[in-house]
Amino acid sequence: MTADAITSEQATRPPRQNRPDRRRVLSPAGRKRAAGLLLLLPALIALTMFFVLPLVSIVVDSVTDPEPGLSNYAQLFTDGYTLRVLGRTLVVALVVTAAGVLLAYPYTYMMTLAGPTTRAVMVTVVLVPFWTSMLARNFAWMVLMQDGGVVQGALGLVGLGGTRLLGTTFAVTVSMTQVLLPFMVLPMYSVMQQIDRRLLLAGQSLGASRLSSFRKVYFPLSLPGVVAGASLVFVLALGFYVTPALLGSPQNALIAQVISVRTRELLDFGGGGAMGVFMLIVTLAVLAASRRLTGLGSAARVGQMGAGQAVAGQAVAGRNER
Amino acid sequence: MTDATAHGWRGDPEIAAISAKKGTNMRYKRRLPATFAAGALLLAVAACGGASGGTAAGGKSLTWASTGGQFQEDEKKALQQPFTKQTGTAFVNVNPAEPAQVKTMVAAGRTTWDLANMSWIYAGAYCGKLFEKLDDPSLDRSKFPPGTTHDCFVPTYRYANVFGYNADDYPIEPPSKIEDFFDTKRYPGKRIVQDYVKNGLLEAALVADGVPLDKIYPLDVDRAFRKLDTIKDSLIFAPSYGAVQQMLVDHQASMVMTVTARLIATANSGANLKPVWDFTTTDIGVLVIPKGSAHKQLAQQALAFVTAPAQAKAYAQLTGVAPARTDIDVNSIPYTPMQKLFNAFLPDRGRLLEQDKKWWIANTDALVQRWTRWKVS
Repeated sequence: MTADAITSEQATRPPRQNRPDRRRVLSPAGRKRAAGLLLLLPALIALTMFFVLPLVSIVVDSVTDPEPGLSNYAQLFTDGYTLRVLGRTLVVALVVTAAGVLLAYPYTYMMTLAGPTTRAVMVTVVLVPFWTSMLARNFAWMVLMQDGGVVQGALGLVGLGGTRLLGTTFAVTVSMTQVLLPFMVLPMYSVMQQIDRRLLLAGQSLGASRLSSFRKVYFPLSLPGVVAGASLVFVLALGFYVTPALLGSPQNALIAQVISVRTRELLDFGGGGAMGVFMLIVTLAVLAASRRLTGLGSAARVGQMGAGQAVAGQAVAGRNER
Repeated sequence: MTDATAHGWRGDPEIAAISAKKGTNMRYKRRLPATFAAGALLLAVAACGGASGGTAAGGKSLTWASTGGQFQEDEKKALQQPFTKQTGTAFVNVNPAEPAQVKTMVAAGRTTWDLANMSWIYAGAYCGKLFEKLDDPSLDRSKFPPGTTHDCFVPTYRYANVFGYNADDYPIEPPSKIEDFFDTKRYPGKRIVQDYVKNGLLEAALVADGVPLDKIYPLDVDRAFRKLDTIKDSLIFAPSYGAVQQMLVDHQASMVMTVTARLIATANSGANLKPVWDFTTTDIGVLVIPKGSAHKQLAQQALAFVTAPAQAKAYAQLTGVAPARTDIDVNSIPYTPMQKLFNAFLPDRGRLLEQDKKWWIANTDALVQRWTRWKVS
């Protein structure tokens, strides 16, 4: 009876009585787990050193510098600009996310339909800006958008000449959308390419129109990719510093610039830390709310994954930005 | 930039530690502790690297933090190299000189900078806390203009916040007095200013509003901001010196109030800039010693040395700034015509006002907050 239950793996194991110190020798499964832990170790050490510890230090500073208490947090609501700037930052991030979804969804959909060569070209087109330096991209936008520049000239043809672009939130939003597009396209593509297109045909064979089979079959299946891309882009957009500094203006500052003034000019590490922590809480709240709104089981799971990636991604992007 | 450098010099020990780990041929069950050991070794090496960062082994050496770019190159040539020649002191140059980094270094108890070119505001506000008091007798404070010295700083050079305009934009009747900066009807066009509250704009607003020079300090901040409100729509707040230069060359702005060196650079890069000598605020550049510097005495000797006539004149000639010591004749410096054009310390430059060090040290923090609030609202 027990012999039936023995798996081939266990069968190959030497008999137990021949192994006097079996407590000290790991079973194959245990060995696998130990190897897994070992492989995780570098990432865990790096994450603790470069993410968890600094984050703890920021939180501690925000409640102890200059004096213990919540005065740094109270000040956020009374200084007359933090809330305004935070609101603007959230709006810009949401607009960038929405514009990104609208641009990326059809593009990615076409990518899944295209042949291998066209697809390779389309992937390259998305990735090229990803490979160029952050500063080069922003300076290019600066030249395009300045007074008398190409974009203003084009607007002049349709009777909107003299519209100021550089130094406005509009310029910042356009540039951020372009910079963040790869973060939207790639997660969407990884989900969309796995969707079995025969499901659409099946839907049509059961009498659905092309539109409604897309709406009821394809779109819900692609939603996890949309949620993942959107969360990623939203979180990254919240922390942008270089783009608003170059293309925006201090009047239209976003939260990262205000935090920079706090820490670099005022040496107020506590106050800057409080802004950062407050920002983090608001971000998590917005992500949680958006997950609840989209409400799909699988979408939520991928969204969760996306949020995790987003936090890590923000740390990386933050470094690139600087 | 500093991140990249840090990785650069931390890279080698890391690779060494990793290859050492690869070389060990241990049995599997011992590998976990070995990895920990290698990790600990790696951290220790990185920490040591951080502690000794910048100091050359043996010999005397000073770490000099500054702006980077051409300005720091000029400092090397005019100030550091003569000191090396005389005393054998080597210099390690780092940038940018961020006050936030001084605060971090002092908090960590590891000050690696000996001299830093940064605003005197910080040395004044955190004198004795983040910055060393200057007590070397070689630093004779009577040699400097009144009101420009402090327990924690002496000036190494003087500059001004100059009002300039793009001559292409006002061909018929160019602006000639400080009131014109605030008159957007007769003189339309954007005005670009540094995004920093001590950029000379508040003083200029009060003078243009009719306050006599001897009544400027203490600043009537409310009145100054009321005056600034009248031109707020025409103001561009430049996030960096580079942006000032770029926007003036590209005709994005018609008037400017910025520091001497930046106007010279902008004019040299093709903008048709002219200064207006009616009312100008002047200020000083300083080299300060971060608290806990291991070479405080040597740094003070270097400080006295760089303000001496030979070095100060060479520095002025390279950068276009003016020497700090009053016993040096500005007219004897062979400036280029462009440097002369924007130099506020030559004869016939209208009314000059040295920005009040005590007042600004006491009020900058509150004003930065107010400036931010005013800008974004």
